[in-house]
Amino acid sequence: MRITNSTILRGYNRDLNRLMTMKSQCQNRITTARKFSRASEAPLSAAKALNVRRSLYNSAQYKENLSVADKFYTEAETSLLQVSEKMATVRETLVAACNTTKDTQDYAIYSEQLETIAKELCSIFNTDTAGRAIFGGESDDSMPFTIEEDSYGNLNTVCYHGIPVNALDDPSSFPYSTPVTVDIGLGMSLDENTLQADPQSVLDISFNGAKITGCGAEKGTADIDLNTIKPDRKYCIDVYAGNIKKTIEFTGKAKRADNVAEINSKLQDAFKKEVAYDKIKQPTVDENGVIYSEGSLVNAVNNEYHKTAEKLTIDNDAGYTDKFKLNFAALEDNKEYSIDVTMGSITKSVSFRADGDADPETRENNTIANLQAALDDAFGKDSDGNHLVSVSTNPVTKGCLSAEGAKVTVKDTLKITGTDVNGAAVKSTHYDQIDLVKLNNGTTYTVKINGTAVQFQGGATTTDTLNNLKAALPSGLTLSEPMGSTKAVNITNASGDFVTISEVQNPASTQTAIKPTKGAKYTVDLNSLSDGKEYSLKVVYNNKAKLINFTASADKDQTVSSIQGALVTAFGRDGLQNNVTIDGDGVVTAYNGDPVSVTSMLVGKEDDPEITQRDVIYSNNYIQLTIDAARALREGDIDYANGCIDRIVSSNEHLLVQIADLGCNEDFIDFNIEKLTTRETNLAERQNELEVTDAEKEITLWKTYEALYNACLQMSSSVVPNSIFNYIK
Amino acid sequence: MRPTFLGFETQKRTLMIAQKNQDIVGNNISNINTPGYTRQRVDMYSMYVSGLGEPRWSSKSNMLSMQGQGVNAYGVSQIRDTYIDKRYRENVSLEAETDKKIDILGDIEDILDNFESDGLQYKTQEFWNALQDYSEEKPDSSEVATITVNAAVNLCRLLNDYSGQLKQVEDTYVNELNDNVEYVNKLLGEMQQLNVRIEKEKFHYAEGYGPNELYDQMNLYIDELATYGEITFNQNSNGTFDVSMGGVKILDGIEQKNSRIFMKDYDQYGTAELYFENGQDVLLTRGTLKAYQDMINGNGVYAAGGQNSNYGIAYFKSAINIFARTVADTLNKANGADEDPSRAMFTPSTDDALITAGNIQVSDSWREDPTMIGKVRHFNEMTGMYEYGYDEKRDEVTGIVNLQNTNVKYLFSQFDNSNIEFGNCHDFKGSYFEYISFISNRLGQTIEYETSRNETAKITVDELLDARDDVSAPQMDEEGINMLNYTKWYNASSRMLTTLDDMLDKLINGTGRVGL
Repeated sequence: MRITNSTILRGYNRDLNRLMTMKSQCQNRITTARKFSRASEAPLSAAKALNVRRSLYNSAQYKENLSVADKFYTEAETSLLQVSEKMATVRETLVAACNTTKDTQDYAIYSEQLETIAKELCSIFNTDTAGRAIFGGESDDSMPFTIEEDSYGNLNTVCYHGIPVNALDDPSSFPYSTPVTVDIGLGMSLDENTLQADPQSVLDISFNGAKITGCGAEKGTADIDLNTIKPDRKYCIDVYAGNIKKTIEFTGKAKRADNVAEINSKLQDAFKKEVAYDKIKQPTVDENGVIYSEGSLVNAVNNEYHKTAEKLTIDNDAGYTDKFKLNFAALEDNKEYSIDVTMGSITKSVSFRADGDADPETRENNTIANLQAALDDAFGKDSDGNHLVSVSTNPVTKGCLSAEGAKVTVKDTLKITGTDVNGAAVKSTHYDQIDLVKLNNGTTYTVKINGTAVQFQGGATTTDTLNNLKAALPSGLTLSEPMGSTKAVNITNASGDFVTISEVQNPASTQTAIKPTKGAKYTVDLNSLSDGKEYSLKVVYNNKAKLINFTASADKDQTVSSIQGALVTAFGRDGLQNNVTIDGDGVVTAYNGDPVSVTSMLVGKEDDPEITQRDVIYSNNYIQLTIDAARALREGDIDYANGCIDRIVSSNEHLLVQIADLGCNEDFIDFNIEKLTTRETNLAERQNELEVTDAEKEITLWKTYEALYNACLQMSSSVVPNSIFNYIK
Repeated sequence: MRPTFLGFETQKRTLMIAQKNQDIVGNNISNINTPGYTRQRVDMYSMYVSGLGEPRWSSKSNMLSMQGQGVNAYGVSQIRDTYIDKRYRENVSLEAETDKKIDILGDIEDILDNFESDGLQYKTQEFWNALQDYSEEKPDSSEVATITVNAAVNLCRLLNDYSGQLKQVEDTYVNELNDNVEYVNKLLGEMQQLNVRIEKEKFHYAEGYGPNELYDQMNLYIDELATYGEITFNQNSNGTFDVSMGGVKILDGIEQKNSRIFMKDYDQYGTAELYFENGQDVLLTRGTLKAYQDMINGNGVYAAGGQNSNYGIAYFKSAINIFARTVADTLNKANGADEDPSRAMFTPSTDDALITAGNIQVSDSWREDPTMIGKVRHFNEMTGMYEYGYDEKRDEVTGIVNLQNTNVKYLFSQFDNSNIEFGNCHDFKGSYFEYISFISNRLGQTIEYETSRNETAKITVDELLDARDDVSAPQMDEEGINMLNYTKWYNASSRMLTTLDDMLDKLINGTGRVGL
């Protein structure tokens, strides 16, 4: 190999440069404290580092989420511990009150003490943390718990989200019971349709107040076995409806229907006053022996003190649970359904048709009649012509299946439906509209009006379009005036009823066919209003819901004008025009054609109620129980107050279980925070390994490179070697 | 019969040849640092003059009288290895190509950086964190909702920025390619001029010899041309050089054949395409021009038309467009934009139908109402219309909002969906973050691959430069020794003249004067 000057010089230059590069890279790693600045410098480490970073960010976020949850749990636990102390006080007060003879004055003091505690309990459960009531479930209502007072100012009913706590047995049936959750990195999975998280994969940060304070009462509905009634025997039963107890006496008759009539007339006499004062709805007994009173809990027991009376078989364990009730909402019109019905030991398959009538009430009644006929076919009737298995038609238990003397079970997916609150009768009519503004000039549109296809052209202005549509309209149909910003029109037939409009794809062009928009018309049934009564309508307009309170008058026009006045107060005016109006027929509409919806609620006017006897329902809810005990003491019913002591004790046990539950969850949170902290530490170490410069190594390297570089520079004077020329003379 | 002054003639020539050798030594030493200089040598031979044609002063019995006529030279030649030249030019084109690719990819990596600055991963992560924070709050908490929108705006801005910067890089390199093409054309023009000169000069030289300095110049040109693309070359008998690039002859002796390269209008075609004067496409396997084409037109799996499947600027532009579009589409869909366009969280800022990194923006409806994503759709049975509210159970009388923020949870759960198809070409299936890593890795690995190719090429090029020097570069000692040698040789020849003179003096002046 010939080593030439240029070889030596190029090599020296190259090596010097390489050393400089390595030194500078090394220097860069030291000054930036990073092993690499670009993914290309270490692709594998970079890929890992990105994952580690993601995990680190996630851990930090989940830790933050957990500490948010922790705050709620700590707050809840603190509150419940306070509650536990209050409960001990309630018990002590009750024991003190019950164990010594005292005068009315003393009882009143104890009663007041208990009421104060009940209010305190209520305020504890309304605790607000970071702007949310922690015992309010998913609701943001700052006061989930309210206590209603009776007309004397005494505490009466504890409500959770407006529902009396005694009314429902299942805490999850109360409103706002869906849990509020946070993602804490357990692999949250959401249901695609409901968007609800799988509870296993998230942490619940809401507390169902109804579950924690208890709900439901010890007694359910009453169901008298009519078959046990024998002719000419005397019976005496105590019937509890709402908070009122009445004792009724009656004599047995031979026919079942006569017995029903007899009991009904007795009930009517007994509760006459309460019904008149609107305290409760008239309790009645139906052909199956079920005693019901709309909106109130009912139960019945044989009167123990009436020695001469015969005992009746009374089933108080909620014979009409919703389990065996037709779910009208789920039934599809004109469809055949088949269900398995078991009465005692006999199981029959029963097929019936769901009715398709336009009127919901007729539809439901017809469906019930269909099912009843099918049941009669399957199980038959008794000698008196009564159904062996019957479907209830009374408003409260409508659709419930029952049989005398035998338990009925239904094997199908029929679900529970709630009952509506009755108030002013409101009918709604949905109608179809065509939005003229959306139509294009010159495009031919086809719409189906009452099933007939009608063609018309979009005009330059909405007036032109309207005229085109008018010209194309079959005879006998009338177009309304355009309403609102969309210039929506609807079509009525000769008798003033709305007709169905549906869209049809225009065959002549690719224009998207118009879409009829749905409007709705609500009519307040003025005839159903009682003179002098107060009503409340919930009217929704322009996304605002308002309560319209008015008093019905014998003069319809007066009623209408008082409703109109309330509507103006609620929704205001647009210039001279009222935004929401009601006409003489009770039809509620918006001036600009926007949808208005109306539902009704009843506001009963409190008249002098006279409580004669208190019910013996023991609430499962300890606030309600405290209030009930307070009232018992006030009224001198020491037996009842005594009964409350045991229940307060067991409620407290229930509470301790809840506190323990919270403790478990807090442990779970702590465990997870700790786990995440450890994980973060590990990840940070891993990140260090991957990304942070190993300073000792790099500085050593840098020193090496610098020494080498300097050595190279020192060599530079002799890089160009001496040659023979240095020596020849 | 030997001519009397034969020796003088011989020594005269010897002196001349020795002097010429010394000249070439001088030339080699002078040019030891001249770029492209090839060492030269005098090709000498032992002189033989045959008397057969002109036997006037020769004896027919033997050729003795004509022997010993000394040295002569054919000419001055270059010491060069064409095989090394060929290999050097192959490898230098690879080195130049990978150098340029690393430059371009490095620019892309500077833009898409995730490590030194807050890159795409960070901004996406921030957006996720903001959604998480919002999900813990009430759906109508507008402060937190605003933070979420801002996080989304920041993500969009980053993507807009990426898009703009990548466009800039693209423009820069398209311009550079244009300049390069111009330069290559100029180079070819000069080479052709040089060929014309070589042909004229060569005419005066003997067979096998020519204008060495012009050859050196031409070789320098060819070396330079080799960095732009793969070339083949050969030297004609008239001294001129033929050069082909990418299989197309662009220099044919003194002819400049199809030698101009043109570039199609980039703004019109959207790809950087080169073609020769005769219309043939410039198809190269190595070199800087190829590097530009690979990087500007390289669109990976999305390649169409004049594009290629390299991972170049076009691919990374596509990749971030796909990211922007996929994130926007999946989140819009999750938020219900399919049924109601006003539910879109992201919209294009331009009239384009598709969302790209350049036009992605937070939709007006979301920006105006940050809590829009906290609302969910529900059916209002009273109006018969779908409405959006904070929850399907919202209380219409009190206006109280529920605490459920299910929709936001659903939105951030999209980030964990690892079955999202990115692009329509099965390029990648995974989650948003996995795609970010995927792109970062692909870029890193592409650079690493080109770097390793570059290093290999550099080492080979260095070795070949050494090998070339081994053959062609002057070596100081070698020249020094030659110089001493030629000096002594010259001295010896001069001495020989003196001796011959002495001999003749003896013959002429001393003959017959024995004892004088």
